[in-house]
Amino acid sequence: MSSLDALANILTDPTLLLLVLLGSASGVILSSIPGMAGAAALSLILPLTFNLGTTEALLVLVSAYTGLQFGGALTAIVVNIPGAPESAVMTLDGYALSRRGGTGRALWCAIFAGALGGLLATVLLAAVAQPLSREALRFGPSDYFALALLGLSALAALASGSAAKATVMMFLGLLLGTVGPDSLTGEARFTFGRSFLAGGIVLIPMLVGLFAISEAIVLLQGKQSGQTPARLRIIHSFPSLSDFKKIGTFGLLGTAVGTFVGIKPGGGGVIASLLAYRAAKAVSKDKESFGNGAIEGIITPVASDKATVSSALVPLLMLGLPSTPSTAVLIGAFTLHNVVPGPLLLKQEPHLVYAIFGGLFIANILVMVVGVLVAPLVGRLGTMDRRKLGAAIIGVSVLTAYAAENSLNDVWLAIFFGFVGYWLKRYSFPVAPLLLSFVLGPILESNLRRGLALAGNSPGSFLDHPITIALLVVTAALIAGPALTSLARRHSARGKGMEHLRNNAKSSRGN
Amino acid sequence: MLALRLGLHSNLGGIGPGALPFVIGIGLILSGVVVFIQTAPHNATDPGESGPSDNAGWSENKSSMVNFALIALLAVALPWIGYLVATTGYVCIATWGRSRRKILTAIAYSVVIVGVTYLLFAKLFAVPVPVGSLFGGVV
Repeated sequence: MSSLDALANILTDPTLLLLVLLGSASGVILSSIPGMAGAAALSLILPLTFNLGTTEALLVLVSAYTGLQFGGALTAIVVNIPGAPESAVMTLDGYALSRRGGTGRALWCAIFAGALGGLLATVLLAAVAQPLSREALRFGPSDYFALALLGLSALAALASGSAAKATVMMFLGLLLGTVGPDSLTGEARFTFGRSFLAGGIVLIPMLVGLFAISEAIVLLQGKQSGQTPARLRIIHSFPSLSDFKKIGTFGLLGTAVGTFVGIKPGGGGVIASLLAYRAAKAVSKDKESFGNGAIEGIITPVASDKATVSSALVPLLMLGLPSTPSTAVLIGAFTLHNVVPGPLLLKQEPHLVYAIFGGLFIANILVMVVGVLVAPLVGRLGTMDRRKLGAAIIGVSVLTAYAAENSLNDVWLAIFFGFVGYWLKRYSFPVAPLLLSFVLGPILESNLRRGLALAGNSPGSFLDHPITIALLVVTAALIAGPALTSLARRHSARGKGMEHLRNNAKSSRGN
Repeated sequence: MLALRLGLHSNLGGIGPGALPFVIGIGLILSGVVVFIQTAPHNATDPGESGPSDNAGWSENKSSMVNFALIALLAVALPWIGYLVATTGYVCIATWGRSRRKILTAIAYSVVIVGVTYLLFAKLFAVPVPVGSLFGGVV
């Protein structure tokens, strides 16, 4: 079995092909609703997969993940409303070009750049899977502990906005992750005698609440925004040869940035698309056109954003660690189907892993087709009455929360987390670190305690493992790096201030 | 003794089940203090840092509380009247703009949206939905 066999398998099976198409289309359409970014939208698609087989379910979800990462760019270009935070940078040049009558050209370039980024990153994922999986098999509990710690430190370091607020969210997520039975002794923690908490907080209602319900409340308060765009026909605006050359060069640049950022814990589309935009501006000969409809300013972030999908699957599939909220939803899907992602996955379920690679490859091509077909619709969705969208999302969210374990308690849990998520967002507390640390916390704790138990409770034994040491050094650099940079900036600013004062004093003496 | 009582140490030696919650608690308090200092009105650099402003805040608070109350009502109604009826009622009320003409639009929209959701999820993909005790379901 290889990725090519899996690819052929999906292409020759109409059911699988239809499921990949369903996932891709639902991803593109859902992400064109403002606020329905990755995890929120993916959690709404999740119930569709409850009664499917494992391979079929994961095919739908990875295809949807691919579609979601792209759909937000369409509304950013057409109506200046980014469907997702990672698409915000695409409004700069995308909408500027659109206003000058270049909507079709901008969309086509985004479609081709997205496909290039997604396909190249998928090929890379398939290429590194075997060797990385072999390496990961050598990982011991201390290495997993250090990896989880690295993931947690990256959450605060890479958070956009206040690092302190991201840290509070990280600790809150860790605390929620301790609810339920202790992984080693089975002792109940923070269950308050409630039977529905005995097994711990269920991931799916929690993420439905934090992402979908909280976002639906925002939509329910909103009014229709923007103008409904005129009927869009992009079929006549095919890119020129020079555009294709730019798609090649800047698409490659975006893919490189997206692959590098996406593979890192805590990395995601937002950081990748911003970095890619900056990189494109830095290397472009026509820097002045950026912000005024530069085609490179659309191509590079779109390619980068799409590349993060496949690269974020590397730590998920090979190490069992989620690096973005969307991959945390995929962890929920794996759990529902009794599959444990990690180094043994490729050995135990090779057909599943290769099917995911094949599905990703096909989804990247189908998203191109879906993108062209639904572009006129997504523009209208972005400007639809938000209350109607919000109410519909609540309806699907309640269904998702209930269906995960056929429990009405989970509906209440989702509403509770919706309430919490809404207020956290209103006070600018990032929700993603909470979810990711909720998933990473039990991995960190169980591996720390297992590692110590194996080493006769001697913490020093962790330093006998070179991988652990390397990961701990990177963690320390991630924590200390921003603090040292800020100190150095303050020092240099103070130095400049002193110099300015000295110059002022000299000039006043001269007078 | 205190360490054992708090679960910091396990009876078998090594770290106990209370250790991580203890460390998290300390981290939560410390980071909370930092946020409190940063977002105190005289320290906040960004207007959004210390939360929504009073003027815009009150109407948003009211609207969000009404929306959460409606969702809570939906959750209360689910075991009794089931997903189809409860959600149709919820969507209708949530989208109704208090004018006589809009109620018809809201009813039509809620019936179509819940109908399509039900057909797609419950019928096509066999996702379980609460039936409601009035219609023979188990509470």
